[in-house]
Amino acid sequence: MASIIDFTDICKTFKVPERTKGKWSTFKNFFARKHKLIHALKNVTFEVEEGDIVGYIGPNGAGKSTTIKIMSGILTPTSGTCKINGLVPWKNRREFVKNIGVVFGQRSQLWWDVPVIDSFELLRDIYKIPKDEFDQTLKILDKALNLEDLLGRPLRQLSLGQKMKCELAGSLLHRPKILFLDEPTIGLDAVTKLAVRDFIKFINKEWHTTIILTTHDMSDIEALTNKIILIGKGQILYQGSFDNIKSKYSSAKTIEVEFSKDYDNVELDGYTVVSHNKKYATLKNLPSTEFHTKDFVNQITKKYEVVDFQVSSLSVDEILAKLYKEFELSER
Amino acid sequence: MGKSYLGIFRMEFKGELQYRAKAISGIATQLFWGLLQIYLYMAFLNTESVDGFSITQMASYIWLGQAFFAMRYILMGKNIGQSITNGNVCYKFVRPLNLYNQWYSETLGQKVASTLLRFPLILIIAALLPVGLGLSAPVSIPALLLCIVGILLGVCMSTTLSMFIVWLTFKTLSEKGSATIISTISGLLSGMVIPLPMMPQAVQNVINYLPFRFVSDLPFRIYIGNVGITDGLIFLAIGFAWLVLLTILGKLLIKSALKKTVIQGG
Amino acid sequence: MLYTKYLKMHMHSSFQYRANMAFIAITQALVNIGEVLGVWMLFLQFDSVGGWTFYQSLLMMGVIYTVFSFTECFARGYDEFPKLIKSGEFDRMLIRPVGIHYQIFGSKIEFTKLARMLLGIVLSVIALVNMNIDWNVWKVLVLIATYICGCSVIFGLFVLSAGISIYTVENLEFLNIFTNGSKEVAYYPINIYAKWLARFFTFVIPVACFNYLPLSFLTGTGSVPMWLCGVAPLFGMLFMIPCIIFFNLSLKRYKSTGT
Repeated sequence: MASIIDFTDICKTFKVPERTKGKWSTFKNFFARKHKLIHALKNVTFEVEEGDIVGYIGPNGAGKSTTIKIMSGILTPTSGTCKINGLVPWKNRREFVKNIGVVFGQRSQLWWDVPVIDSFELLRDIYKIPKDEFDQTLKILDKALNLEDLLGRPLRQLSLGQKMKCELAGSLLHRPKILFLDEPTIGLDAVTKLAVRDFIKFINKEWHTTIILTTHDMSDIEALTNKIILIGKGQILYQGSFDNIKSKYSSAKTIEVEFSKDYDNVELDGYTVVSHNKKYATLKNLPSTEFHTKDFVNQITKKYEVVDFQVSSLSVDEILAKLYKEFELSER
Repeated sequence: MGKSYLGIFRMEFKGELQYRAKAISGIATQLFWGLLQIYLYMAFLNTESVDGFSITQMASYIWLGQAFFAMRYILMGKNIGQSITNGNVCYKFVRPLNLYNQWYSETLGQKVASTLLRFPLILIIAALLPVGLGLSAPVSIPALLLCIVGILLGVCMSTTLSMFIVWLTFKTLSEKGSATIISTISGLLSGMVIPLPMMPQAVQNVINYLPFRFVSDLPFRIYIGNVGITDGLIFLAIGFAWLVLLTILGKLLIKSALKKTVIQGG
Repeated sequence: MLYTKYLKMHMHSSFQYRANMAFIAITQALVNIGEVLGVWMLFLQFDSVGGWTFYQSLLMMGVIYTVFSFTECFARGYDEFPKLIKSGEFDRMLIRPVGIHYQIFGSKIEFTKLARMLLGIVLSVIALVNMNIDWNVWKVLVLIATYICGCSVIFGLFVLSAGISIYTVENLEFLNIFTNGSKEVAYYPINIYAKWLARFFTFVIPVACFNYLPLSFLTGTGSVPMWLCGVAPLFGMLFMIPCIIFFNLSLKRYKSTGT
């Protein structure tokens, strides 16, 4: 399939005022500001194919929102080229934005005091959506998100989850080809979170909408995306499938063992002992040791009397934290 | 007891000191307004003169007014109005403090801090301007001292009057509207709209005895010698009596407004 | 039309708080009544200033109140532009397939300001009735042009300060000097001010074009040639063009720097 987003060598440099500290700093800053350059994005290159759900992840301040802003045409990059849906986002603004939808997780695009349906109708006029097409789209969205009871109520009366459902619907009324979601599940309860995820999958399948998702919630990434782009300090650290990373790190296991009596010393070939306290011990396999439950049981019962044990691997969040750390280390 | 109010005062004071950039831009604005007003009233005083109010005196009067602008403006402390209209005021009942005193300390702290940040620079710049356009020296040392006493009275009077906005907000539940009503009345009667010495004598004869002119008009007139030392002392006494009276009245009104709020359950 | 939709939405929103809105509208008009009272008392003390009397000043106040609050009501988005940027609403406008200016107009309509506008019209009428003007077609046309000119100059100032606010990180109070300063000088026929000040508000910010010059035309007095006074409002309307150009240039900068 053809790539719908082509991001090549994008750099973005900001000039920010540097504040000097000291007694007369306010006056100094007021009259003569020093500036320093911040490289928000450094040669960022990636491609997204039509129909993909891409997770765009990175720690705070890594350059995620700058990228989203460039992709949605709000900012122009310092250098580099970008083609989205065959257009350059920051040229022909009005033509370009017809085909994108954006949901900023914590900012609403709907009106606070008027019924949601009125906001939707305003959006209909803004995007010049024909009436029958609008009705049809709304029907589909309503069915998928259960909006019916919400549409007649003003936004201020809705709960956080209900608001997010309406935001999602609002950004899809014009059936954009690409949807940017900035933290769509933040602050939602478990049930709504699942509903939102199902919905994202649904429109991706139904309308073939390409979705770019930024989130800190790793279960979102696991449940939704088929590709991740990992960014840190303005540079792409990794792009590819999430499973690759997972399998690379899931080989590291932690084993908690309970013995039937107190041991003074616990040792096992191929493992390190993380902690040991009389009847209890925690072990980790060395990178050279591939963990197999059967081999481990054989090995440990030969030396000690074991009552019980429990194996756990790294959680997705831990993997990510580890990844960030590694990349940070390698940079030094 | 008094210590906790002093604590609130100090907190608000420190908070206000944070906004230094705001203060600098405020000073620039004040300087511009000052000049504009002086040129305006100059046009009036050029054609006809009012007895005992010359252009030079007018310029000083305007500059003092600009320098102490933050204190003259009748405005309650930030967040007080909001806490009343959204009902958060209920949570304040849990604190073992008198709410009137608490709000008074908050408002006073903000007024004093923003005044202290602005007035020295404005006065210095105004004093450097040529005579007739700039700030002249006080007529005498006693006048200066009396003026300072008057300013201290003024900042308290301003705060006391601001407390009536709090009361009105309880009644109307509109913070903006209440603030506008009180500050408009006080603006006209305290010489912020038109310098009081330029008003018709008959009007002045009434306004001079109302509480509003003690907010700002009196100390400046003592400074320029438009009000003599003896008269100044008498007026200061009247102002002090108003201050005590209005503070007691404000306390009673707010107490009854609070009682109603508690009964209604906020 | 999209704008009528915006208008309806704002009306709907405001109506949720109508009691509060009405109260605010009335108290805002009260501020102006206070100012009028002050000026009235000033003219009780001084019969005239620079050859002008109370009613001529009252007409000037009526004009500025009318045009300022009309512009504030419908172009509030420009007036509160820093808020649009801070709230992220401006970014949102950039991803809508509708012109930016159109959206800024639609973003905020403040109906409470109409009370002040009404007051301005009433004051204008009172002043005009009391001024003994020999009316003819030209004077009526110039009067109408005066109000249109006033709106466009104030609008130009709003757009200008919105453009400047893109450059300054903090929304500095002294940006108001231009807008509020132009408003306050226009309370009086501005030729009463010192020459340099009057010149500034004629040639740099053309306040005179909806103030002293058309007033001269209506009363048939003053030193400026009558035909020039008559066409002055038309010239004043042009002021907003460079302001809009400046804003559009600032917009380009916004897109390359962000906030």
